[in-house]
Formats: sequence, structure tokens, C-alpha cells
Amino acid sequence: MHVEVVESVLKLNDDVARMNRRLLQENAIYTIDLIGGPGCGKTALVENTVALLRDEMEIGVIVGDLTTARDAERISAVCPNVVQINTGKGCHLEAHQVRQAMERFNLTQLDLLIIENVGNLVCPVGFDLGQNAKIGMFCTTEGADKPAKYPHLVHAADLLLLNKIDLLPYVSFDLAQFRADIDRLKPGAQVLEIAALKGNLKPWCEWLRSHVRAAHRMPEMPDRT
Amino acid sequence: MHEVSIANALLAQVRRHTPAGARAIVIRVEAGPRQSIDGQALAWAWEASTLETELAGSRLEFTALPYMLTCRTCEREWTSSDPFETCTCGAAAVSIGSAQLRLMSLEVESPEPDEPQGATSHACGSC
Repeated sequence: MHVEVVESVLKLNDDVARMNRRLLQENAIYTIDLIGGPGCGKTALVENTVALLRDEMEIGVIVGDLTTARDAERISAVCPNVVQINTGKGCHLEAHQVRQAMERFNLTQLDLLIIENVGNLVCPVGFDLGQNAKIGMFCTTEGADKPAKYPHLVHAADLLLLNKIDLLPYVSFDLAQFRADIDRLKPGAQVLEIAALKGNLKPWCEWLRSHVRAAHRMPEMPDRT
Repeated sequence: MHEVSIANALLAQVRRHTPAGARAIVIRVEAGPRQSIDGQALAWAWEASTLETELAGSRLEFTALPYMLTCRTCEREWTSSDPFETCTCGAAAVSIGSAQLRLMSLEVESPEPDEPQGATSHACGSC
């Protein structure tokens, strides 16, 4: 007997992601899912982003790794609101894990939630967590061919970051090829060049500020003083 | 290897859509490029997830959906597994990869019907 189904396999994950999104929107929290390979600078980006923006807004961080709480320990030096998820053998975060981590925050206090996904350019791309934006992160030390080799992240990302731009004079990285590949995959895709470890994050912080403001539907950030 | 968690999600979904008393023998799944699924890895993950269950030995048929490409010059539209494939006119194309991952259909088998009762059965009354 033939049974016609036509239903998303990740329906359960998608349903939980929708619940996450609704709860985050109710609390006017702008949420990003940060996706990049191991060592591309995701944790350094989170540390310095929090350090630069913490006087303007309340930030929560959820960080996913297979094992250890090392990233959470690093981030907790600048951010009191950090939850580490250990996925064990899991190569990506799923919506229910984010949901459990969200329980640990006072959501009414947060303006921005940063989810640092497991270091992986493939698997996290297909899983909705309830975020507002997926951020795809590459870096100059991993080579210019990564967008071409991992096109799914380019297609899925709402914003792309090229980190370690300060190392450009010292590494073999064809910036023109990098940009051309992205343009071929996704014409008009926004790419910001940053140096996370050096705190050279001006365009990135501006991008975040404008989206957090929009989430508040207010012209300026609320005065918390 | 996100295919393992996909196989586990699929297992619950297949059970939900299988009529009571029946058993799924073929499971048809299709996915767009953004799901980054390796068909062979998903087949192995399915085999591992269904071991020692009623679905052991069932066959998973996976269809990888192609990219949709549109030529930037002549606007011809076509599909390909290569997001960088150039148009027949020689120009570059814009590629769009779907994010969908869907269980499309099942083939299920019903249990063997019971031995018909009646004239052909012996009538000892004790078995």
C-alpha cells in the first residue's frame, strides 16, 4: 500500500524553533545563530562583541561544543549571561537544546541573544533554532575557497563575516576570488571584514545595533541608566 | 554527520504515518542542497537507527534536489547539482538551493491475513 505523506522531516525541530522565535520576539530579543568552522574566531568574536556592546545592551550567549565548558568560561569573563551546551557527539545545535538553555536566562532583561553554534560549516546550516539571522563566518587563514566549497552556508546566511582580515598581508588569501565566489552564489550578499581578536568590529557592531533597535521597534536604544 | 539526528527524527515520523498494524518497507525522502545530506550516510544512519526495530530491513530512497540556476545574461532557467555551472551562452548564473527536507511517501505492507475460517479448515475444535 502506498502512503502519501509530504511533511518536513525536521517538523519537530521546526515546531520548537517556532516556539523559540515567538518567545524571543515577545521579549524583543534579537537573536543570531553564529556558524563557522573550528578556529575561525567565533568565540573571540563573541568575547569582543560583548565587551564593546555591554554598556549599551543586555546580551545573553549560548555556546555549543561537543565537550568542555572552555568557551563559556572565556565568555563569562565579559558576560554574566552565558550557557554552555555540550552536544556529546552532536555536530550542530538543535532547537530543543536552545530552548533548554533559554530557561536559564531572565528573558525580560535581554536585548541580544548570541548563539555560537558548534564549529562546523555544514551541519548547523539546515537546523532552525528560532533565530532572527544566521551569520556565516569565514576567516582568511582557512583559505579563500571556503564559500565555493560550502555554498549551503552562503545561501542560508543573512550576513557573512570575513574574520582575521588583519592577517591578510601574511597569508595566501585571494580576496577577489572569495568575493567573486560569494557574488556568484548570492548576488548582493553582505560581507563584513573584521578582526575579532583585535576588536576591529566597527561594521559588525553597527549591524548588530541597527537590528537590535529594530527588534525593539524603537528609534534609539532604551536608556537603562 | 547530522544524518544520524535526521534518521532519528525520520523514525518517529515514519511510525506516525504508518497505518496501525502495517509496516513500512520503503521510505522516500527528498532534500534540497542546503540540507547538505549525503544520501549514503543517511542510508547507513537509517539502517543503524532501525536495527532491532520493526523497521529493520526497510529501504530508504533518497532524492537530492538540484540547484535552480538562472543565467545572469539570457535569463535561461535550468537545474543542476553544480551551483557554479555556467549557462550554455557562456555567462555566469545565480543559483538557489532549497532548504527543504521532506518525507514524501511510504510503501507499507499489511500483516499476513489469518488463515481463512471455514470449509477448508479442519475442525478439531482444540487448536
